[in-house]
Amino acid sequence: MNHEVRDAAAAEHRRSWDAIPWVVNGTADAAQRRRVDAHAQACADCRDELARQRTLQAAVAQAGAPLTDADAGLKRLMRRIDQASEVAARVPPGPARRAGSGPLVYWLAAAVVVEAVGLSVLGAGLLFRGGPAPAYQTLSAPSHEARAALRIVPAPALRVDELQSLLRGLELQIVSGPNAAGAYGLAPLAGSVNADQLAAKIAALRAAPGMRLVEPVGGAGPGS
Amino acid sequence: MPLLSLIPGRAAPRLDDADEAALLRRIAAGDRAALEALYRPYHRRLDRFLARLTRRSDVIEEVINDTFWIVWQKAGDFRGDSRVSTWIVGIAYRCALKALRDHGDEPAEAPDASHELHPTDDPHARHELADWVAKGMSRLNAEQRATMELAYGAGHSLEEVAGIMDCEVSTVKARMFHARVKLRHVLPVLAGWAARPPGRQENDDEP
Repeated sequence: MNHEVRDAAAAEHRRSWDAIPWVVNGTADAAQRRRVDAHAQACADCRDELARQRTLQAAVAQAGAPLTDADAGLKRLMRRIDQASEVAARVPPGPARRAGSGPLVYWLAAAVVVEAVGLSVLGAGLLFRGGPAPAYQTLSAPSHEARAALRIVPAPALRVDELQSLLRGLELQIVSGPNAAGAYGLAPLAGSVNADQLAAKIAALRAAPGMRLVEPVGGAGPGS
Repeated sequence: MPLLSLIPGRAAPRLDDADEAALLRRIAAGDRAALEALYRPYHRRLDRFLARLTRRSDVIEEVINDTFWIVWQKAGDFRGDSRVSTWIVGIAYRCALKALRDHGDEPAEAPDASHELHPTDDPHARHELADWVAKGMSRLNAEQRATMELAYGAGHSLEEVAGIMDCEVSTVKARMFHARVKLRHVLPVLAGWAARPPGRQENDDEP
């Protein structure tokens, strides 16, 4: 019986001890607060701990001056969004891009319109001229870019040999880029892979150090 | 810029959860003004949270940038299963862990806290306390520092901290317990700390 009483008291003490930080920061519910208060009345350890944690909480909660500048950060963010929009506009979108994947959808849609207009003008020109196709390649021509299954923007600090090693390990190759935004188009060495395999490669790239952006091109892809 | 954010020692005014959810819906539709409206108050919160994990301002900048880049891309995926703040700080935490892996997860030396403090009635006492806390926090691992900051700095509940850190509530309790034990050994400035032994044995799973 004594054991049971001791065990119950020890369990109550532990519950109280664990709940103290959340009582101190004001997020414990009323029942938890009552329980801790009741226990602390009879437990000097928990009374002292409550006082210590209150002091610590007040110290940790002190506001310090920010280490970074919000305005500069916001400018960088907007610049990044602009650059990504530019990348998205250069890579032909696929038909099955996931709904709800964010504002890129709108840019990709805009890219489709621009491309459609461009291709129809080019097509009409060729039709009327009746000559051979030009030897040059337009940015929207379905060559290398069309083969890209995903695009990446490596951090500037990532060395070339590190990138090469990473891509070799994942059986990926660079098929385009870098463009003005520093983005590369990648394709599987095997030519084509199924959606699960592609998702696994994307996840591995995202987990690798030094990747600022990893995105599937066209089709659905896993979230960040 | 809101006037309050210009006053030293005052946090930028916080939006409530419904305001933030409304901003997320606008962001999902590509509204940059909504992104800015959400960015400004969160910049301050994330800056101080991340400053507990690293003293490198370049890393903090990178993590905040990555966090809002993801918010911009994924705002449409937010389903309201948690508070917006839990969602955003959770993204920041995951970005921070990745950045710490990339850059090394040890914080710089405990900083001279004097530059962080704002004028108070007793600047010396504040300086001393903040200095001890900074030194004490530098002895914790990244998960323990994050737990302590989320609970005491940002005032999140146990369940919210678990949501942000994407772990079990029991894991948060263990991290908090070990953070408390470590801090009591390095924060004698908080009077009487060393006088009593901890309230229980240090037998949890996270030393």
